[in-house]
Amino acid sequence: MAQKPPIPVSLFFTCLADTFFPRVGFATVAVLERFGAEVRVPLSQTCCGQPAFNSGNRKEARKMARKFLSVFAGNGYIVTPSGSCAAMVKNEYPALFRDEPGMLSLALLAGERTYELSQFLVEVLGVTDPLSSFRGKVTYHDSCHLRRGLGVTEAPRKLLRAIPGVTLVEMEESDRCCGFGGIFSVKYPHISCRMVDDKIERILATGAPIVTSGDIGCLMNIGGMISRCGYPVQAVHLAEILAGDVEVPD
Amino acid sequence: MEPVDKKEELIRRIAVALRGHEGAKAAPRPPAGAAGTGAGADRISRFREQFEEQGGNFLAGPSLEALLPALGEGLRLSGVTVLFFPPEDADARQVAEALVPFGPFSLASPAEVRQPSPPRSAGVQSAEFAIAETGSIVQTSRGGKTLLPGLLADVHVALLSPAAFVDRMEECLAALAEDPPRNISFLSGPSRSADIEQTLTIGAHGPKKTIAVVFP
Amino acid sequence: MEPRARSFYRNSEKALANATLQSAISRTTGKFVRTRAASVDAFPGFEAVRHEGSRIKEETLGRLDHYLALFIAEAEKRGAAVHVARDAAEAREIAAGIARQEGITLAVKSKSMVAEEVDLNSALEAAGVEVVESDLGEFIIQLAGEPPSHLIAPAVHKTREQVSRLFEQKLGEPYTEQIPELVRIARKHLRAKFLAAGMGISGANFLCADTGSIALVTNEGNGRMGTILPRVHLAVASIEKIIPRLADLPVFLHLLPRSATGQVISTYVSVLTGTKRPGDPEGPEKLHILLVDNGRTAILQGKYREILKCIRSGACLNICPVYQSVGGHAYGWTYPGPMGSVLTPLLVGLAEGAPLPNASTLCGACAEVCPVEIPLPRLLLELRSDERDQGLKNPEEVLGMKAFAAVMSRAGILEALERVIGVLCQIFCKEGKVPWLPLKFSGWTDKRDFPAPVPQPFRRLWKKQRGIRPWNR
Repeated sequence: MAQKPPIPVSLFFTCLADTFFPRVGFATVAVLERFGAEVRVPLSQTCCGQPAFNSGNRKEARKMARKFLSVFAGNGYIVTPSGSCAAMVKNEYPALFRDEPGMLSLALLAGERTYELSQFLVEVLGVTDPLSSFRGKVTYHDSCHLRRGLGVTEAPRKLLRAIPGVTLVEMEESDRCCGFGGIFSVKYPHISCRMVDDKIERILATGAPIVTSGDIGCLMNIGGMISRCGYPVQAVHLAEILAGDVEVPD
Repeated sequence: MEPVDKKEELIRRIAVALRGHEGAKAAPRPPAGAAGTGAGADRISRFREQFEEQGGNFLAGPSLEALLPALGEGLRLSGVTVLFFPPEDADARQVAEALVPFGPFSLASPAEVRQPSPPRSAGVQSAEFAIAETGSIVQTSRGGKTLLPGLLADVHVALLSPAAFVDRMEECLAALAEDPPRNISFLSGPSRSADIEQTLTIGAHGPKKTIAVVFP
Repeated sequence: MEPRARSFYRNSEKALANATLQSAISRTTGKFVRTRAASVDAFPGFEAVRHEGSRIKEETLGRLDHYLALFIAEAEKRGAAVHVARDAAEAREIAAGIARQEGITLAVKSKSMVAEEVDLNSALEAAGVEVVESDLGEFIIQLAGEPPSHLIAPAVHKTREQVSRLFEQKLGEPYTEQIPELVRIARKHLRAKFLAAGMGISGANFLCADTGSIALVTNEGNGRMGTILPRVHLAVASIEKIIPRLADLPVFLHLLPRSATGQVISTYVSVLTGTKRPGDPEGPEKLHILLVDNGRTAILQGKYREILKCIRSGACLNICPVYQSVGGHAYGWTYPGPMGSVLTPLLVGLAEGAPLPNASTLCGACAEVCPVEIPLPRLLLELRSDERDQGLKNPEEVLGMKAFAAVMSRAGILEALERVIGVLCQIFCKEGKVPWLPLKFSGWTDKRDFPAPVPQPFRRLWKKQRGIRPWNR
């Protein structure tokens, strides 16, 4: 039987995964390789630039975007376990380079090749069952950039529902912003905390011990408040649920 | 009279601001919505559904005589003691005079209602249109008509012939756009306010009850 | 109205601590979000109408000079006196002049945001006019001496007990906790004013250029009272309220009530054209239309033009989780929430309005519900960028961003930094958490745990696990 040629994927693991949650990176690679991707990890990558862009510091954002575009130049797919990073590249890089035609076309081309993980699995690899060993009752938080920036709502749910050990329960207003918003979380911490409290109220109402999402920033915010308050909920990244058991070196 | 300069100046300022901006192209107007293909009866029942959902009362019958008892009862229950109608509105006069024994109610002129603490009144008037899609009664000041029945009365009784019903707002406005009167009012139920603790109260200003009466 | 947008941070802290306000906001916004969603679901053509509404507004703005000229000509043809005010001071002067010219001592007023914006009431009062607000919510806050806290529900922050005490104090009415009774009291007082007033003042939801008409969309009926009974009608509107044709009005009537409160149509829609005609038993003998610029032509020529499409539905306020947390007063000026965060800095200056564009997570919920498709998050991002360009940013932030970009310019630097921090955290962090973050970042750790950076970042672990291959560099 002819083997399907491996699909070339460059992984953008994100600065947050790099610094705080390497297991998200390994989980992402594991599930991509499980479905026929040949994963390369350009190690000169750094940051997509959204903290600078979102706070209005476009000069610095452009610097980081230029670097991203040079690191990820090429033809294969660019896949990232982050809705906000994928949205940054696809939606905002063109705006950043609107006055530079050369960079603009690079940005547009890169944007076309860039996907968030669950989006890629479902839309490009045609995955219907992630073949994950994960077990647990899970509720899913629609991160703003994944849902509204990229229009991805069904892909993560389809994949989660296909896992035999997972029971997916929907929370009220699953797309209600958790209050992270990058720098907003420290610029207006009182409002941010109020928003995450409102989110957690809805998570707790589901009775699920696990909340998952496609954005690390959201999970750090939600998880950080849960942990401080001692709620019986764990924030787990979508990639880890989709991957199931993954070997992470120490 | 405002010096012409100031207005010209504003318009010139705007023109300058817009220079170099490509205005959105005036797209061809979408075809004016064709009048609904629903049958007349369907139009009336759609009006009724929407109007009642918005708190309006609907009465229909084969003749005026048939409707008087129900109408009279409705007005009595609302504590109405006085009826008024536009003097030149023959249908409204006929209805009001016929209603008198069902109260009993007394008849007044519109001017008598125009005071700070008038008696509980019902204003009877022929309406010009009824719009099915929004459950709206349309009254205008066209031809010197009074607006008081739909404005100052406690109960507004709007008389409608089946021919007055249209499907959509566009149809009604198209008929009036050529030479609009001072006042065109779409009345879509009793007046309401939810400004205190978001609790809905009926009868802020304007009639507390609106009755659409349809007879041939 | 004097802007206090600069103190948004402090305003919002107070708002979060105010339990009455909190329950009032959540009651209102929660209800409106639900009713809006239900009414949109029940109207399959909504997205198409939304698109059409956006297009009509863009068409109008692109030719505003033409449509404004048309509106003025058509209105004047039908007996209106049209006045134009370049700024707030001029608007006040013109309004006072009209009141004096017409000999007005008592005026009843219905909702007008722009009248708030230019502080019209104070000028009229100085000209010897008693101005009575007739929207129930506005009537209440006028008695209380406060500005409105929501576009659609101005007294949303007041409980029935507070309202009744107000009526007791200012109107001499007995205390009651029955809301229908409170409404009846207001209706009685206001009716007398409607009948006695020499002038009715209204805003305008839409101005139809081809007929010179003013469209009012209300639920209470006070707008009708004030524009039918008094001898003089003064309509105040900002210049972007214009739509090309009376025939365009239904598009906006499909959009506005649904987006604001979830109604198919508001109880009253009034289209007012010119003065009383000969033979009309009611209607104003005089119609004055005051068109206000106050910074809008400046917006028209720039990248923020789309904010002028706003039809004041309040949909963006209701859905915004930030607005839901802090309410309207915190925004410090006439226009709150997402649309206010764009419009306020543009009208009062970016320096004064600086906090507002930053008080958002850019979640995008507002753009989803805006009935005329204004890309609010995009505009907020532009304002943030303008703040940087105009030197309005905190120098610490700029320095921090420069340092961040410098670190991110080379993976080697980043990795080295990660290793150092990782080692430090091994020493100072217990249970995988950072005990506190320095400087402004302490806003996080005050109430939330922050994870400790791992001793070895992903890039290092990857090299270990897979070995360094040529294409991995």
